[in-house]
Amino acid sequence: MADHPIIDVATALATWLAAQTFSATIAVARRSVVRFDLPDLATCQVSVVPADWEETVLGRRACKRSFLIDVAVQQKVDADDLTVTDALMGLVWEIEQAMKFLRLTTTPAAQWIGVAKVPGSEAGYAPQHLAELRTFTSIRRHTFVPEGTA
Amino acid sequence: MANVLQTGAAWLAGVANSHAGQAITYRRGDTAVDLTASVGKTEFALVEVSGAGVTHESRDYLVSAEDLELGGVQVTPLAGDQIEETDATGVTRTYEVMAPGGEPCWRWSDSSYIRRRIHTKLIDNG
Repeated sequence: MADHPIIDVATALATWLAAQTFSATIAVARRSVVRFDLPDLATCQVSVVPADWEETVLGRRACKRSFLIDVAVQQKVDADDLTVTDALMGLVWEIEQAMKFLRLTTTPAAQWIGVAKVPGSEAGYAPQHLAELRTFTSIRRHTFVPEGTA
Repeated sequence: MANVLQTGAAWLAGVANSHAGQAITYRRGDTAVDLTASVGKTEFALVEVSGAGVTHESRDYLVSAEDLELGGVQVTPLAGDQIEETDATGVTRTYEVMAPGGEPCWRWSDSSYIRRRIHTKLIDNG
């Protein structure tokens, strides 16, 4: 059975992220579902999750296909310590800047074209997790377009 | 002067501690105090935001208000304080004081203001 192409894109992105060096140590994994117990978030966890895909017919033999991939950054923090939450916001920004215009070596190659907020994490992080669980959670939805489909 | 209900509540709190009490360490930063607490409600729940869920074990501790002293000063619980509890096998788990669903992180457990019910969540399995 052939893999869904969004799985290839998400796996390639997780592999690429794991190979990068950021200002904080992160553990990266591709996941289908993001579920952590609070004790698991003592260290920074980055989850790469296939979210959705879109395909639009442009003409008789052309279509535009895009893959939406969520990148979640999570860590248990002292919610009152701005230096910690600020650093994690910085990490989210750092990851996003590194991913800008990224070309993943999937087949066909997939090109990053944008990032968007997701409901519940509009501020760049989820206030509900910070207030109720004293846990930083940021989820951002990235769009990749496979070359030759647009 | 204490009325009969307050006297009864104080007696009940003492009995609960001596017969069903659990030794805990209550910690705020570098300051800590050893206490005996009754363990209240323990629940498991999930808080989910856009598909990213965090499951957690919530645990309530009932402690005598007058015993909760840090550095010789009686204190009220604050979010971020920690409670360490060691089980029969010697494993010490750490629970952090947190407010569930927008509620305060503690409330009085009786109408006589003798014991506080402190809401926590497990953050370290030991």
